[in-house]
Amino acid sequence: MTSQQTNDRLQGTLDLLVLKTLAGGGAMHGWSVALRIQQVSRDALQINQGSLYPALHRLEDAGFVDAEWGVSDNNRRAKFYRLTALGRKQLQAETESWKRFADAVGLVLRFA
Amino acid sequence: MHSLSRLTRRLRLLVARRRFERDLDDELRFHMEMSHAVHLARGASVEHARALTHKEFGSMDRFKDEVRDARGLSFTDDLARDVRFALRALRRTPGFTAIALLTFALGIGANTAIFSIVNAVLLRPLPYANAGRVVRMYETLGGAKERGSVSVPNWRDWQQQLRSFESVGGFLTSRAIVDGDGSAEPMRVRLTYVTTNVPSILGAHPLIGRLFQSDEQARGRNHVVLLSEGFWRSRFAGSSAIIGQTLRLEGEPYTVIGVMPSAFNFPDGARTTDLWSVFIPPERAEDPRARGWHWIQVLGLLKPGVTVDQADMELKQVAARLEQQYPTQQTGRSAIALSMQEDIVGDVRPMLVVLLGAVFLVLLIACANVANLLLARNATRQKDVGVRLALGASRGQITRQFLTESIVLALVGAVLGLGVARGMLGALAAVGAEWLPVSGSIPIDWHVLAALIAMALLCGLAFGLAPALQVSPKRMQGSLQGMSIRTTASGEMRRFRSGLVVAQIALSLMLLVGAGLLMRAFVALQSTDAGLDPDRVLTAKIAVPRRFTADGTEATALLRPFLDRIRAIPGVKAAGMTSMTPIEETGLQASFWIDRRAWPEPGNEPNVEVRSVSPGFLPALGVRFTRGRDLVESDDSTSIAKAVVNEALVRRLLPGEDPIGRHLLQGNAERHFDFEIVGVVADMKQSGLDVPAMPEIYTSYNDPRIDWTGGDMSLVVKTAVPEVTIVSQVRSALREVARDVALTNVRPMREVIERSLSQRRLTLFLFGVFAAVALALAASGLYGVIYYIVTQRTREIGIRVALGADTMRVIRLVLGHSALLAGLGIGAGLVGALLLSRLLTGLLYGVTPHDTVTFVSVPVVLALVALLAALVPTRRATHVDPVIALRSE
Repeated sequence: MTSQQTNDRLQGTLDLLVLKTLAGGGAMHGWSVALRIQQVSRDALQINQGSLYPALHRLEDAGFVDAEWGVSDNNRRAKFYRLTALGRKQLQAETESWKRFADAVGLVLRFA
Repeated sequence: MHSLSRLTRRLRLLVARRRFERDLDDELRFHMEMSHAVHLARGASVEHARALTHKEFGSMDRFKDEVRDARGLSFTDDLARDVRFALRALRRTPGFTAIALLTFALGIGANTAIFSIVNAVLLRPLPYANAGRVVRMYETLGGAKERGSVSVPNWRDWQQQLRSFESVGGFLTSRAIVDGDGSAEPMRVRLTYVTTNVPSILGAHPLIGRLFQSDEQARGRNHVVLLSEGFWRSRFAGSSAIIGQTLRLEGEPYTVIGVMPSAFNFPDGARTTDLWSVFIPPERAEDPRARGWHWIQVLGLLKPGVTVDQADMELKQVAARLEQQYPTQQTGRSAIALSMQEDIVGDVRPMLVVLLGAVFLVLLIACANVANLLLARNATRQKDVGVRLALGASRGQITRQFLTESIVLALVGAVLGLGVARGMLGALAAVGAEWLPVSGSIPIDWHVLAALIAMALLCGLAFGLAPALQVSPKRMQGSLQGMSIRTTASGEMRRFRSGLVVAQIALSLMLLVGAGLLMRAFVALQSTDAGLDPDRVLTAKIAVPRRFTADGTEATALLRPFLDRIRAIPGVKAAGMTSMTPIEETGLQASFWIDRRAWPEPGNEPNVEVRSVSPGFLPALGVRFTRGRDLVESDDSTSIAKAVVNEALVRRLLPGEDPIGRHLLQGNAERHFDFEIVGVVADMKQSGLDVPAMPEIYTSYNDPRIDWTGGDMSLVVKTAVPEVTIVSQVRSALREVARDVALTNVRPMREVIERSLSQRRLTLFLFGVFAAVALALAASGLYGVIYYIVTQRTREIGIRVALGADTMRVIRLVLGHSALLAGLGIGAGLVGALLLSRLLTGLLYGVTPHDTVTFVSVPVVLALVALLAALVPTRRATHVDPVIALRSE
């Protein structure tokens, strides 16, 4: 794998995590998406929180998520993201593709 | 679908760019504040909480950049930065920028102007809904290409037999006088008679009112008239109450039924038509014997799916049938159908295509010049580029930067060029209103703008490419070490720039040859013998009202008393009338045969130009009598019709015989009308200086049996005093004879001849300007390159001088190089000119496309200019001080 492909794979993974997180239902702002990923992965994923934002904007650009400005719990202006129908389809496809990849890696690790 | 919505999202961001940045700031700040609050809540100090927040978030700037990347904003950001950089760079070198912009603006501006004309004349469809299907039909004679009018019986047969057309109409352009009414003066107007189906053939709609109805195609119902928008606004102040009102044309009442929009200018051309009424041919024109009377214009609307070629083929078949059916009148006659657009613009196309080609060469030369300037300038920036490469800029970035710079230059130049184009079009409109078959001004529409922008982008790429390709890390490394100027890389550059200059010289030689040929043709034309003496000759048109022509008193009651009064004006040497002013007007021709000779096969009688003239007309124009006498007033209907003929007619019909007393016959072997020849004159050109004189017959204006004129006559007065000084006396003479007769187009005969040359003069002028600009650009290009080479070789020259080379040797070195470039350019240009000059054939007169004088003198001129351009750099080379030159390393 060249470094470009590695990068794509990492980006894809982050996009997948964000989509999955938003699939939980409801609109979330960036901070809560970050918290959620950290909690669910039990702090195992060590990424900069900031890299979440390019991912969110990438998804918005592709039409997988919708964004809207709203008011947060503590009465602050915040940008809320919500999964679109297109995004839900994408999540499904990505999930399957990820599973196939993981299975393939698992097979290789087991039998190679 | 998907990517389309993405594109709209991105465009929306671009438009609201500031808000996007603000929102992004807000979004990220919200995150930081939340994070900060959480760390505080967990017991961290304010300082520590801030540090933790930043650590967990990572680089704010980097992620912002990544967000912009994700939203597709970085491309436009980079572009904007490049453009700003380019503008700054251009401002830093104002001299270079000004010269490059000026060069390019001239080149592209001239192109835009000529293209606007081509667009308006050749490309833009006629302003009719059915323009693509409207076809003009003509009769042709003996396989000639000349498109002749149609006789009514032939037209009727065409109408019945042609299957390619939905409908076939006829029309006739004419003139009329709108009678005075209250405060409004009597007015001369252009009137076109059309069959009632013509507006629907064209697909026209009235501005107000209605079009003709088919039941108006009948005598008694045909006194209806459509007004042009221009006439309506000027005469009736655009009042819609005019519909249904009566307009009097020479005493006859016509009902106004509608107003046509200004785009409707049927039958088109440079002149505007004021009125349209219904065309109904007179009874005698419908007579089967009138098949030989060719006088009307025909057009038709193709059925959908039928091509012009198919229609032309069918028309020729019909014409062939008619030829068999009516051999006496139709032998040798065929017909042609062509699209209305082609009919109108076909004649100017060669000239416009030639001009477009010429101006395109100018643009090429201008681009080469700008490319050369850019190369020269970028050579001085090599160190700068080297530094940037060393600091990590990629080759791509620098190439992009260079290209952006040249494209920005081209686009700014294009904006200036637009101004140049507008100026040129304005100037052209001022000098020659009637040289193109379109009325009104030439617009710069979006077609032209699109072409301008495309041209500018292409040129920007073209002249930016060379400098951009010069960017090579290796070369730049050298430049950092300060050795660029003397490496092989610069030799490559020198060869490239020399190639550009050779091309410029070749192209400008081609243009100069073209201009030279056109100029030689123009001079040849101006010095041809027209067979008349235009010195101190005044001409004017007299619009003869119908009351004189209807009762046949035109000559006796109006023209003769008028002539008598004019001849009494002091300073007048001779005066006469003609049905058509020579050089300016032609078109009336008839077939004649000669007595005492067997009639030829029908259709083989020679075609003869016909003019109805008064006594004194030929002497007033200085036409020389070689035999016999002029017509006299007593040559009227009381005896056999008299005629004066020209030498060309004698050569054609009576070679070697005495023509005086012989009879010219019109008709056929059984029935003919006879003219007795009383005089012979030298040939006078009839339809332009470039058209040889046809056989011609001058008949008496005083004989009502002969009616060529259709009413209007032209006055010709020879004076001993400057001709314009008698104009007011001529006017008052006419008023004394008849108050309702208009005198129009009063001008000296010289002006009539000048006007006939206006299209040629304009072509020559434009071509000449283009060639001059090309020459100047090529010269400055040569100068620049030689100068560059001298600068480069300063050290070498210094060494040579130090080793004892004398000034002559240095001069030979530099001039030799210039001569090589100029020689190569001239050689290539001569080959190109020999190949291309044939394209000018149609515009030449009296010179061949391979005219020796032009092909010898132009290279000499160019060589001299090249020598001049090389002199300054040569002088500089001879002043090289070896000490300084060697030390400069």
